[in-house]
Amino acid sequence: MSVIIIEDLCEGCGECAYLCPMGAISIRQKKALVDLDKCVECNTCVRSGICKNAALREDAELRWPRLIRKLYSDVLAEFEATGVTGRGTEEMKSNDVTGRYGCGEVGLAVDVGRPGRGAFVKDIQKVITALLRVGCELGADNPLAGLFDVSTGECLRPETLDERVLSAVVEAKCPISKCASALNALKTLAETLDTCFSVGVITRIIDGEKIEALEVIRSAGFEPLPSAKINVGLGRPGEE
Amino acid sequence: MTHSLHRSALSRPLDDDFVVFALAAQGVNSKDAASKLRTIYKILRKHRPVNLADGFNSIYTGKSADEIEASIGDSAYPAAVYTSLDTVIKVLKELTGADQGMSVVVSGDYRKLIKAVKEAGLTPHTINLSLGVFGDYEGRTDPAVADIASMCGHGLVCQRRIKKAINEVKKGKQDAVSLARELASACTCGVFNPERAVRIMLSAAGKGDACQ
Repeated sequence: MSVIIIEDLCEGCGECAYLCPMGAISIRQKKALVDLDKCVECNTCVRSGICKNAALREDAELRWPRLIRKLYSDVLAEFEATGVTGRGTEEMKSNDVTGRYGCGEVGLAVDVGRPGRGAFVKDIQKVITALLRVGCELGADNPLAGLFDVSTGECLRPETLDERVLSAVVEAKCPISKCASALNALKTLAETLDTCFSVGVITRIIDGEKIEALEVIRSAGFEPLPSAKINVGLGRPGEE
Repeated sequence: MTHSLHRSALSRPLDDDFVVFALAAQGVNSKDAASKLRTIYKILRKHRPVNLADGFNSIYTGKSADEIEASIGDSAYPAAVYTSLDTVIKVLKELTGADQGMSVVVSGDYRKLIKAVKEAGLTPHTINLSLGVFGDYEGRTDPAVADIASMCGHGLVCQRRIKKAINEVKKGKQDAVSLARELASACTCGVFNPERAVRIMLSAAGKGDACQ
């Protein structure tokens, strides 16, 4: 089962419809209606407490394969494999401690379905396949590793391919020399995919000055937007 | 998570939008990290952020700053949003002095932030650059809506709700500050910037952009 509307309690005010990131709630005959095909089980509507009559509820336990929607769409759902909530890993956020991305390497964080479109699992597979084809490696600790073979891109749970999620982050890594190929592969894929994705490129800052992959990115015809995340280098390993 | 990376600046620059957050690397330095992360949270809080959170709850999702502080565990992401670069520099200096060994990340306009990090006496280590959106999406046609929606990196602040809010500001039905708080309540990570949302909504509604 899924998010449900208790019809007897619903007054048809429509406030819940304005909260749904996927536009899955509409008002029909003065009652709210959830389009279960569009709904990605993000739980934003229920969590908001917007319905003063509590007509909006999360019903019972979700069953596989629909459960995959919640795992990739509800920010507070936790992935058992990583212990991380959300769609990705710590990626560069703890790189000063983990060294996940070294000098001479770039990371690619492809947020499939973002912003506001959502994506089918089969769309995510296309992104993974495109990156593997140009020699990228996928992170084995990414939540997606439970769904796809990280070396071939084969979907390990094909029954999920037609399930829709709010977004999922494909995290890959490659030598800087392959960065341009990877970005061009993504650009080409975007022209045929029936959704969108946001792209982040992770690279080291050499001696606190030089953004290592910046020239490669620009030479490939891409210009970074002003927005970025910077790890300021305050972390250090513990005794674990 | 890339929750604070793709903050768009289509309707106004990112001059008033900076996120600082901290985390332990799980399985590496996460053992007994809670007290360190709580120390960092207190520093973030002291500098009067416009949003404050632990990665699971923010001050706009129904928890008080004290309640959030009390619930911080080893896997928390203490996060704060500031509207001034000078404040970010002060925060970084204080975090450096506190020396908790946790990773700290700042988000915003990287051209300004790299200088700011160095001004705080630190050496920037790694950067995640946004190349923006590949493919088509609805927000591309409405810069104000896209800018506000992008402040919740998980996409939980609905574009339809933002359009309605701007319309309500335009018609004088509700004040922009209350509406921005409502929008912020959907962002569980607490990286939504309600002050920037107010400015963008006022501007889009043709009512100037001075914060109310």
